[in-house]
Amino acid sequence: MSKVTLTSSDHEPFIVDKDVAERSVLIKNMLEDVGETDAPIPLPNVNSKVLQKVIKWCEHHRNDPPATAEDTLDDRKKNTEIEEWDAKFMEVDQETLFEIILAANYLDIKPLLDVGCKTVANMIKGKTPEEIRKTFNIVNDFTPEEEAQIKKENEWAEDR
Amino acid sequence: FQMLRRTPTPTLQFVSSMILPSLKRDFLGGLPPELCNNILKFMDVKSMCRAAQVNKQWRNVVDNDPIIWRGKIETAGFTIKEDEVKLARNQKWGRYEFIKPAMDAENTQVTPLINQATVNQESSQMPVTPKEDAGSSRSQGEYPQRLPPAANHPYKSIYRRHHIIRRNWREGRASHISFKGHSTNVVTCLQFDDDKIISGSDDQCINIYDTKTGRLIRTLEGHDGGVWALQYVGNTLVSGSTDRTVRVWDIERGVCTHVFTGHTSTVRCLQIVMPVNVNPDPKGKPVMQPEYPMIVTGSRDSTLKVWKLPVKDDEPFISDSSTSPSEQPEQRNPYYRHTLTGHGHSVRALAANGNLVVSGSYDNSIRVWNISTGELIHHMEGHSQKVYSVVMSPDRKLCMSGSMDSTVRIWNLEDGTQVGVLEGHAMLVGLLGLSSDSLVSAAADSTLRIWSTSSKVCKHVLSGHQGAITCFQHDDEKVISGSEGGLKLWDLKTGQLVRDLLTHVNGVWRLAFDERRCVAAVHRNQVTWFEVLDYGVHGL
Repeated sequence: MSKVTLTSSDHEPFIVDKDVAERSVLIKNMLEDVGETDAPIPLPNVNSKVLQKVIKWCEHHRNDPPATAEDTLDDRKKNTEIEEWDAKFMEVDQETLFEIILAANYLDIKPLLDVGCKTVANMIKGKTPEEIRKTFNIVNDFTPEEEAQIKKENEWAEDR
Repeated sequence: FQMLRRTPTPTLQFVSSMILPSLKRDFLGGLPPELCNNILKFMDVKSMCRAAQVNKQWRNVVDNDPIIWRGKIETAGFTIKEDEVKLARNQKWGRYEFIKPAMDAENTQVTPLINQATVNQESSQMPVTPKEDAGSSRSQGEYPQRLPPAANHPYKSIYRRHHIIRRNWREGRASHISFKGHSTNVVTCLQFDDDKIISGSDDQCINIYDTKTGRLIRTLEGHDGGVWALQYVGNTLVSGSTDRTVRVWDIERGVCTHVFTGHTSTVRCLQIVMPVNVNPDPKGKPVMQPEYPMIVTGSRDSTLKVWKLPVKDDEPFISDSSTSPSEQPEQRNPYYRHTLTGHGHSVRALAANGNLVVSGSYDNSIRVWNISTGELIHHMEGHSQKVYSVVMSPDRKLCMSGSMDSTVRIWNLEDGTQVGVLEGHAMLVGLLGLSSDSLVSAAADSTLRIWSTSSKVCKHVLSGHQGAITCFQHDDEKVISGSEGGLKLWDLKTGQLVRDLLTHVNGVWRLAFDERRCVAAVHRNQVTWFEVLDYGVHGL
């Protein structure tokens, strides 16, 4: 199995199997462009801590079937579940989760991006606006009148 | 770490309260829009509406993107009507300061309800009535800081409207109007939209009513016998009668533009067949079948006939009815295409799509024909008694038939073979309906059955009616059925009775429903009544 060297933004090298690295469409395309090479691939947008995490995910998912490009209506209907290993993997602080999502987007690893986004969506689900603010440390910048207006605008979704 | 262990708890709590927030991230506020959308894609609408109340930035992120909201509309299975986007913009749907009363219950003459369960009791509890609202929006001083709408698109408000109507169905919140029509006669066929209800009756008339008020707009007179079948598309109405003619009407002008003769007995069933794209590759060049809109009629004379549907500005054509049938009067009719002969008895039901029409006959058989060429494709035998109903599933290349032998049979449209017999009903299966995966049958044994077309098993038996099922319709969520005594609403997925929609009626002649309304023609003490239940009320 041929190896690839990835270099994080803080210049730490990571040596990984080629098929693991190619879970990233960005890296896959780069490897296809340059052909056989031993030169390390620089990833200036990902620090070593996050890259390590991402590689761990790619190793676990190295044998997954390739994702289809277009998501269908059926996918969207049943897509909120996260498999157990991924859920455990995503038990990280918000800062790290934020970085993983950005890295997955930059590296073009759609399934990892989706798991990250689902994790965030699940953190929001079922909470009141105030609980959401608390969860993410967000300041309420509505005046009381505005807040009442917004509440009214969205009241219909409360199923009453 | 040792230092932390020795620190007293209050201090630790203080330190923790300083550190924890810094580990938090404002995802929707901090991520680029395309990633925010990816998060929203995984959220349910209720959560989205709560997230929109977090702060100004979150409100913008959640509400602003039309694609996200169009996706939610699609996922929920709501269908947007052609003019709905325009309506939503013009009437400012969902902006609570400008709630438009035009579509509200206020404009409808609401008669006292017969069935108390459907009373819109909560309308009086609505916190803001449209009138007060309009007033407050004018007095700007009262709300100086009113936020402008977060969205430039109407899709959230369209979602909202459909969501509320669906909920009203579930909760049984509707306004209800009743009006008499066709005196004591049978209503044999019924079709409606937001503006009009068109009914055909054995009193030889076709009546057009205003859906919102029940006012009789006009009566189409001309048939010399009871009207037994009708369908309209746009402004064109086609009807069939015991007088053996097929008539085409201009609905707006209220005039009969075409009379087609040729059938030698009652025209019992008909369908307008609009061209559909039959190219299996959706990206390929469309292949339209049939080439132009057609009419297929089925008759007690045991034939079917195919006609070209007259379109706007086509020449009127009134057949000369004085010629005897043997002279084949349709030969001089420029709209006549084919006569499909082969059945040995009355053609009772038909279903058409693209170039195919399936017919069920009192000769116990089903036949499949090509509309464009007039050729017989398959002759399918298996039922031991008269066939009363047929439906077609062009996607799965199947058709189904219901018969007096109390079975439903499934047939392969490609080779004409029987692929299944659905047994369970104890009497005549008079009515069939088909939606994405569910086949619903209704029988004289007073039950309806829901079948899986793929596994061919009966999923639910809907029992509760007192007599033969006279009419029903279903969609992906619900079944509405009519019988002696009233109208019932069932949950398609569980097979449970949701509620009685109408009680205390002697019988239900016909019913139809769309996303917003249910219209039924019933008879009460020998008098024919129309009942309109409108779920587009509470909270819109």
